[in-house]
Amino acid sequence: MAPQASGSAFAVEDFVQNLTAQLDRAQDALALKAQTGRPLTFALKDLSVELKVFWEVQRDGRLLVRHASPNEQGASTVHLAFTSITRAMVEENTFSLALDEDTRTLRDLGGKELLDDEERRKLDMLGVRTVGQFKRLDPAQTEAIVGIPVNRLRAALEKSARPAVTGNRVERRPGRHLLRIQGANLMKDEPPKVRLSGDPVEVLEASATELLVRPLSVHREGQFEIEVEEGEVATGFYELPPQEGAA
Amino acid sequence: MDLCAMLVELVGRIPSVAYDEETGEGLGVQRVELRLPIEARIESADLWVSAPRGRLATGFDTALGLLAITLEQGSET
Repeated sequence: MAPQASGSAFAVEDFVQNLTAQLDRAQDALALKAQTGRPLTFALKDLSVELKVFWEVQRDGRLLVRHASPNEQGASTVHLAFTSITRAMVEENTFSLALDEDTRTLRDLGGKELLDDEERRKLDMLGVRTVGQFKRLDPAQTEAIVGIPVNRLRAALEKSARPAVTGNRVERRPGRHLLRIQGANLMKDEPPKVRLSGDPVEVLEASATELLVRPLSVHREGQFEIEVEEGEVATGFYELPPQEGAA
Repeated sequence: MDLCAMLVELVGRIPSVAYDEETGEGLGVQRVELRLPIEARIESADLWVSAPRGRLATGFDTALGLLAITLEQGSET
């Protein structure tokens, strides 16, 4: 964040970038609505905002904007007009999100020791909201543009490449149940080794984001382990319903 | 609420079709233009907006801004 002249003043470029990020999020939310059974949802065609503000100029010439406080007279009027956010653009954007290979949020990577709120906000301004988008960043370039230290970016990138489990669900198949595990970096060149409650189990399908494994008849609940490579292990907990016909 | 939530809420609340089951006829809304006076504040460089206080005004209120949006059904351009 740019140095501030007072508690509530912000650099114009930060404000406009944040406003754009807010509109991006609205666009994503509207696209989701359109996909989830409301195909007639309106598209946002034009948007303009008129704000009453005061301008402040710092000694270095940096221009800051502050919203008018109650009963302050003489505020300037700022009129920001944004170009169309069309249905076609919405769908194009949604398509690219659907193709994201790692849809975890940056918060899923870990706590503030990795990326703090301010750093996540700066990445959000660049349109980076998922771990998949984050992985495509060049750390040195990102440091130059938004000022996040390159070492912190590299540490976060390293963490983002480790296997992680985000969930699992049971798939009912005739005669038995299978376990589908979702996550990130779950496979590299070879399918991973998977153990349920310590027992190796067969991996039926494997990709970087999903595994389908066949539990043994003795498995009901417990911990599973996914060993992608030596020393690279992700864990989670599973619970299976009783097999059909079981006592 | 922040601007994103306000926009999503606004768009979600506007009916896109009115349908009469008895006659089997309906009317679709093609285009909506809104000009909303807003109370706005900038917080951590994000824009937060809310409806004017109206009767609840205290005499210690911020100057109102304006949010103007145009919504279109099936806009392709």
